[in-house]
This record gives sequence, structure tokens and C-alpha cells, in this order.
Amino acid sequence: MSETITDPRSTECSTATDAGSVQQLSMQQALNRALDEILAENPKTVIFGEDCGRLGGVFRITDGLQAKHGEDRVFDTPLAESGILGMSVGLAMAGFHPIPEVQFDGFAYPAINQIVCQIARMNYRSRGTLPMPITLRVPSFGGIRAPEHHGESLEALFAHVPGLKVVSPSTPHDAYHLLKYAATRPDPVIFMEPKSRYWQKGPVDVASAVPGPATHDGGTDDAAGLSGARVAREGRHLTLVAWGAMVSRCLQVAELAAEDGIDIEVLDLRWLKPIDAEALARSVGKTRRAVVVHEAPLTSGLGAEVAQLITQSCFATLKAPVERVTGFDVPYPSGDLEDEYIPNIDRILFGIQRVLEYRRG
Amino acid sequence: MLDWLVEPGQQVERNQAIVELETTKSALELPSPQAGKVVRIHGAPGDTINVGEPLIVFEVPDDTAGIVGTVPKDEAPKRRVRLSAVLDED
Repeated sequence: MSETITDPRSTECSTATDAGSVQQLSMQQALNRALDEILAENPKTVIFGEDCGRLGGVFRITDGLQAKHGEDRVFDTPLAESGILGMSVGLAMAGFHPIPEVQFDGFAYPAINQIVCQIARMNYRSRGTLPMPITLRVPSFGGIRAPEHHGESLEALFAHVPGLKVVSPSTPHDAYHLLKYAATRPDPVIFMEPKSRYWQKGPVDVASAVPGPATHDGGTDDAAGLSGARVAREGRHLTLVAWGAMVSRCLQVAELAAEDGIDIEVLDLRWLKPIDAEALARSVGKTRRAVVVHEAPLTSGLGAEVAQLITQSCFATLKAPVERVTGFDVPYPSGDLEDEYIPNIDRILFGIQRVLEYRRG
Repeated sequence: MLDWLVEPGQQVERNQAIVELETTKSALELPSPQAGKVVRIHGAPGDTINVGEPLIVFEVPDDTAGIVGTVPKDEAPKRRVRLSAVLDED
């Protein structure tokens, strides 16, 4: 991961190869580019939130967009998350495509009423006449040693709400494509950006996965395979299931496990609602062992949902119960205690060992 | 504006008190939103600074500007646990 933050609009940070379609971008830069293109392609798109406009966002995701696209389309809001999301509802009803930002994930709590009671239900409540094409960007999870409420793992909360879709990218390439894809959806999408990975650089092939045209009937146009999970690493002996920032940690664990002769597959779930149950079945059907890794607390976390889906499809062939390595059942701690809370390499290795050691009675 | 607690050229830390203000609601010491060098301050004691007008200008390194928290460092993975397993391939 790079510590150097460069101007997302700078071309110096990009290494063009393959006729210019592949560039080395940080996730921050990839998201900025995606938003720039979304604004250019869809005149109904509006971006707003605390510090989104003139400052360009505290993480610089919206840097330069106001200057380029105007104050009517990229603008600052008061510090009032319920207002930001309430305004999104009205804009969507008026035919706009809002891409609001909640500055830090903990600040989604004050807007839960608007998210759950209005955004998620409006299409259902209106019998399909009022779709909510809202993409809510939420810098999510921990890993940057921020104060309380600036690091949370809210995926289970969002995923439990009918009407919402939830996605979290783990690479700059996926961040670029998934954000562009989410912005074409007729349903509200909670876009959970792993903030600790904002500065990670990686190849972004802007031409490799181009979503089809936007549809507003709920139909699929996923020719590029952006609606499902991604096998981040092939393996034979066990599947690690993760999303967001935990994917890169699981890839590190897989490298270490390989030193011990254990061949691990890493499945990047990407979509947390709806979950790609077929990808889970394919991967665990092959490896026959699974460990789910997430930052959220254990109890009623998304790991339980994933474990059930795996059990449902692979019960007969599983060699051990699905294991979970998660945060603890305490409030997500502030920076000083993050290292104790977020699953580290050793805790994940212990989880793997428990599965490998399991023997039926 | 009641009193400045810092001056141009001074290095300040995040959350360090930088200015005493009186609003329509209360008097308060405003903490610095970030670490950096003070480049310019606006207003003197007795002046009124309206909401939205500049108050202070910082010079901060590009890689920490505006972030509440710290940029993670890229570190080699460390382990204490070794895996051992007898894998049947049935």
C-alpha cells in the first residue's frame, strides 16, 4: 500500500499500458475517475455531502469534480446526514440520480430513518412507480486509527433491509467498475468503500468490464460479471470468504498458508446483498472447507448468513463446520484498539487450523 | 473573535486550541481540525467572522490533508501461527 497520495486528476500517477486501457491507480483515484465519468455520462447525476464540493472530500474522492462539473451537480451540504439522505429521496423522485456521501460510516446512523423507512421502501410503497436510483457512498470499516464513529462495519445492518443492495470493492479495478455499475442500478445501492485501502494502488483496466446500458426495470445487463463474487485466488484445500479490506488480508494469509502446504482459495464476495450463493457453492463445493472473515462483530454478522448459504448447498460434502473469524461483540473501537479488534493474520490462521483439525465424531 | 492562540508560521497539532471565539450560543476554544503549519489567520480580536468566511489557512502535507485518522503503512505480513494438517484428498 502506498503512503503517497497524488492528485487523482494527475496523469503522472498513471502508467498507461495496453493502448492506454490499464492504469496504475489508487482506489481513491479510481473512484474519483469513476465519478467524473458518471457525471459526464449522465446529466441527471448529482453528488453531494459534507465537504464533497470545494474541498473534494476528506478522502479526496470527489476532488476536482465541482470545478469541472459545476456547483449545481457537486455541492456541499450541512452537517446533517438525515438531511443528505432525505434530499436524495426527493431528488430521486424528481428524476435525478443522486450519489450522496456519508463522510464516515458511523455517521450513517443518524440517517438510518431515511435509508430504511424511505429509500429502501419507496419503490415497493409506490408499486414500482418510484424507483430510487441512489448510490450512497460510505467510507467504511476501520484500519486508519480514527476516533470512535469514524470506523464501523455496518454491512449486516444494511444487508438486512429489504430494498437495499450492498456492495464493497476490494481493489482499485473493482472500485472503478462497481461504482460505475452501481450508479446505473434502479435500486438504492449502499457502496461501502474500505477506507484503509484508499491509498492502495493497482491496475485498473478501464476497458475490461464495461456494464451494459442502464435499465430501470430491474432487469439484468450484467454482461461484464459485475453483479457477483470474484475468485481473488484459486485454491484446493479451503475457501476464505471475505469482502472489503479483509480480502487483501486473506490474500496475505493464503500466501503464508502456502508455505505450510495449505492451498487456499480466496473468494471476494463483493456484493453483500444480494450474496452470490452460486459462487459460494462453486468454491466451497470444490475445497469442502470454509472460513468467513469480517470486521463486524460475530453475533448476527454477515458471516452467519454466508455460513448458512454454504451449509445449505454443501452440507453433504463439507469436511468441517464453517468457521468465522470476526470482530468482537463490542462497539467498533477507536484507533488505539483497532489492531486488537480487526481480524489479524494469526487469528485467521487459527480459524483455518480449527477447520483443518476438525474430525467427525 | 476573542483572541488568537496561534500565529502565522507556527506548527500546530490536531485538536490543539487555536482561537477563542464567541458565537450567538457560547464562547469556546476552537480546536485545530488538523496538524500543520499556520500560513494565515483572518480577523483580529473584536472582529466578526461570518459563517463560511475563511478563518485560518494551514499548510499540510498532501498525504494527510483532511483525514481524520492516519494513512496505513504498508507492512510485511507477520505471523506467529503455523498450520499443520493431514489432508485427505477424497
